[in-house]
Amino acid sequence: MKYFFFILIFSSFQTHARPVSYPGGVTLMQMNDNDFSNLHLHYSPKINYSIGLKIENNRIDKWTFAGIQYNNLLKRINKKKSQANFYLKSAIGSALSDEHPFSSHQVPAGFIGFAADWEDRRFFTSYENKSFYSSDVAKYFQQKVRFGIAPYIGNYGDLHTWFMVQIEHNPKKQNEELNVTPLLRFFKDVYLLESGVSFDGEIIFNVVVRF
Amino acid sequence: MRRICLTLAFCAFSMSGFSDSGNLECSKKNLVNVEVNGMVCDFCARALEKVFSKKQEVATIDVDLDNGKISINFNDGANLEDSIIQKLVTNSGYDVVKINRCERG
Repeated sequence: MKYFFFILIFSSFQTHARPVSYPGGVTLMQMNDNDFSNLHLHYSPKINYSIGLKIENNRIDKWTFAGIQYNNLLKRINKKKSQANFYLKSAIGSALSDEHPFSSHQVPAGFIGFAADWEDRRFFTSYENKSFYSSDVAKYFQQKVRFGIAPYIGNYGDLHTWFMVQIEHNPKKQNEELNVTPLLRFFKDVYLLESGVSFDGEIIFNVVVRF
Repeated sequence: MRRICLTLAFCAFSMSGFSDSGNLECSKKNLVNVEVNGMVCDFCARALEKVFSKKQEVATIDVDLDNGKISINFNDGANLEDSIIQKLVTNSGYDVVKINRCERG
């Protein structure tokens, strides 16, 4: 039981963009990789949490999760030249399978996890994990780590560019347990865009807009 | 003697110029400069604009990532107390180090 709670607390999913915004802020996140397309629209009533809609489609195993996601900012450390964040994320909803013999089979589903990031204006690093459960439709654990470096330091309002490497660990994927993806991140104003191609040729494309 | 006078006049002019530039941040009325910790990301610092722009007292806000500072320009006759500024900065996800208020002219 102790291990169960440990896994619950330390498993999560992070989009590499803040899952909690400012009070009254709305954020749209749309993410795509080889297996998944994700949509997360969240609203932050307060500085320490957000709540929103989550839709996750797995194109390989042919299932879709739809639910309500709750993101909690556990701790933020502000220093003069850096910032660190720790988040707990969870969602509850239902998963619908399109895979035979479970076609149109719908079951309760959810996930929980942990995410952390640290950055200054030159370097970035983050860790995230996610444990998804939906009885007989899908179960998986995934974790990712990222390292980034900014080739130049832009000031407020400039186009910002980051070179990043993402290492994704999927214990259940026998041939692709580790997936390494170099990627480029750009952001300007309230728009963030990132894209990359993994060493296995899989494409990542993410867009975040903060309203 | 004339040269000395010219040199002195030049020095006095230069010093007054330096003095003015040193006080440039406070040369405007209705301006408050806030030193902020944690402000490293442009995308995230947008929150400051969003949060402060909801206040009718605020005309504009300038974010300086290089120096970790924000400058709040108030509308004529308007102002916000330090405690409110502190709360708004905290709501944006940052910590206030120091609030520098300019002399009101």
